Amino acid sequence: MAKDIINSNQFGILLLFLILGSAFIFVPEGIAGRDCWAASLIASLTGLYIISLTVNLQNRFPGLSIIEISTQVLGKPLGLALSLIYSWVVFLVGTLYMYDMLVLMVIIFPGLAETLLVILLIAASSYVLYRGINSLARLGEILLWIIIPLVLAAITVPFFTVANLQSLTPILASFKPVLAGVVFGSNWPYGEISLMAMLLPFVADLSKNKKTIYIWFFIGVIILVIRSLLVVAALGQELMGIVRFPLYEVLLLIRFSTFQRIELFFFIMWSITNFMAIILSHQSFVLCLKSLFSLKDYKTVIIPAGLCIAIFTLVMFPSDIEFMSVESFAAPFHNLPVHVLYPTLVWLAARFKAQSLSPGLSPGKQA
Amino acid sequence: MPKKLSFFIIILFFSSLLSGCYDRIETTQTAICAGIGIDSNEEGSLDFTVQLNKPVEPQKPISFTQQVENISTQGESITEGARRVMLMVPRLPLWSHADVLIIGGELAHRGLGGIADFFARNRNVRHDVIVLISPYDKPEQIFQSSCPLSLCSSRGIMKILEFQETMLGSYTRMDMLHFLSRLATPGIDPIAPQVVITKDIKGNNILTIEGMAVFNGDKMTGSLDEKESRGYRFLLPEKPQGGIITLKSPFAGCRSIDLEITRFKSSIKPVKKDAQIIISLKTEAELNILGIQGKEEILTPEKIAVLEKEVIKQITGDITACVEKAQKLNSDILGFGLAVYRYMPEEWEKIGTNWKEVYPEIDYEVEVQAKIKNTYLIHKVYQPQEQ
Repeated sequence: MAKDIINSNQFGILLLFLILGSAFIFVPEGIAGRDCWAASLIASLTGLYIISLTVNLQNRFPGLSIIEISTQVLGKPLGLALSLIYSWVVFLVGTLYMYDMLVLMVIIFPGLAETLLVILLIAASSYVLYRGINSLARLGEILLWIIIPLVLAAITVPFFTVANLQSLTPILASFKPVLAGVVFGSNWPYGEISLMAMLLPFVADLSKNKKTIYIWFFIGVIILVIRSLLVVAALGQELMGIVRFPLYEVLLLIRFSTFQRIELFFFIMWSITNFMAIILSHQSFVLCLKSLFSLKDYKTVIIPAGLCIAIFTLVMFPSDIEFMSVESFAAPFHNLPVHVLYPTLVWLAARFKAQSLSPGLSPGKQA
Repeated sequence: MPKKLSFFIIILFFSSLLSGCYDRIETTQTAICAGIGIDSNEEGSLDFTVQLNKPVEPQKPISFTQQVENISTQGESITEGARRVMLMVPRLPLWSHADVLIIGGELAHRGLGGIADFFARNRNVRHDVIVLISPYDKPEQIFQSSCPLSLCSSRGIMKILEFQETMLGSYTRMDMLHFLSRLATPGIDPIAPQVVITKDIKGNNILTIEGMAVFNGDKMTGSLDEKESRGYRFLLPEKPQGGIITLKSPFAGCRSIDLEITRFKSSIKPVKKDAQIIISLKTEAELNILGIQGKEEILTPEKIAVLEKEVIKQITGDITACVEKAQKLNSDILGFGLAVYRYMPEEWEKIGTNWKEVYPEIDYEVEVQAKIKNTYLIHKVYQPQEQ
């Protein structure tokens, strides 16, 4: 199989890894309180919107990245300017994923050398990227067999052991917190799906099997909604609002008779999904650089891009508190508009351009 | 190939620096922490006590005396007190093994707001640790008292609490997570079982569970006795279920009847009657006959129905006693406020801010259903022959 071709199913699996890796352990829409599950469900529409938009765009311009499409349909100055902003956000999301991994590791192993961990993660991620997108997709397929049983256990076992469903009431008593939760959830993790647009040109059977991508997306949404329900049912909205890793806190409570520390089994799940999210953001950023600088091969920028993510993570977030203020409060207002507006603008421009062209000549053929 | 090799070497190099055993501590350098005790003192600082399991020599015969060391320190905060233990113990205490947290009465009355943050934030103390209040004695004295047939009083008292739930059914366990959750949630107050020192038949100090401490916000305001604690347990059934009810018999030829509670469920819901909020408390219990002291044949459908009414009366009495005491102490341990918030959020908007003034006066109605289902191995009353 060619190194840089994947199929829709593999893309869908990678999409699931991005959704779980970025947000499974957290409850980004936790500001909605006990109705965060509803906020998560509504926010998933943003992800659905981004996927359908980018898939549609990709089918019109097969083989071109969204950055290349934007320069073609918006013109070079505007297209490049918007693509630069998009690439910056992709880069920023990569640093957020990296710090998420870092902060959990450091809390569990306080003596861990952060610099070394970041460099090791980037080195491992770079290695995967050098192997090609197809290898990354196959890695995803293999890891899925480890992840799915653990995810299923993580969202079902606590329901029967520590959850109190009464904590979910009153349901949807107030819409304001839900709306706030929707804003946060729309950005993280659903808006961040826009990163995956950079991988779409490598999907060989996109026009035929795009349904598969939606199926994996909905699996991710269902898992996150159940996760939100579970966290509120087990911790209550007050504790959920203050704990750093709500799902981890829930799993800490599971015990079978005198058998404790079950949460350690789930550590492998977080490590794998979070690491996959880091690789995917690294891959997207590298592809952004390739398109921006019209490089023949993205492999030349793998290490420099990785080092930029590593150094920026360490310098930009000197402490947890600063990171929290960026991730929880600034990022939605900084990143969400880009996640949503950039593909929208490119898609609208592509439509206008298609209308202005002669009916027999499609943009895809022109490209 | 050289590229692959260089990557492999780089990853191998960094992996060695991040070895999973970088912070390993040999078990011979650690001390297993069984229990933590905190109380305030006259100077206004905190007394911190930790019960550590003594290391056991593998060749030594098993001893049945307490195998623990109790260490007490003082500090402005729990963290300081805990770290000061390091001045006295040449081993690293493993706090995550602690099974119980004993809070002294003085601190409980003063308020727990200051220590809650520590337990919510600290990654070394597990949130399933059992919270106990020592209303009369310092935690240090609790740890020094023994627990019969137990090598460690912390684990002993935890086991007593655990087994009495299924066997006797008087008191309810409270773990740290639910205690913290109650502290932070409007419309519900914390409650925790009390551990006290009593005397055994030889006059030795032994530990027992006696009553439950109730809080108004983060301050302890009083205690429930055993009957009231049973009422609390009937309304907030937690697993494991179980326990017994001993009834004074309503029949002339029978002195008393022991019934085992096999299952019970309950609900606390607000209802509106004549523009007034009334809390409806419903409990359903299933029971089995465990023993009959008497000769009169009472295992007939008619007499069982009478017995069921007696059970209902007793459970209703326990529940009423619990609610009355909680209202008297202005401590919403049953979460009436939370129930109003959950089922009538628009009413909570109006009364939530002054809930503590509303709560002591709020009306409630108790509805209990009981069903005696099983008579175990004999289906008639045992009749010894007359002399």
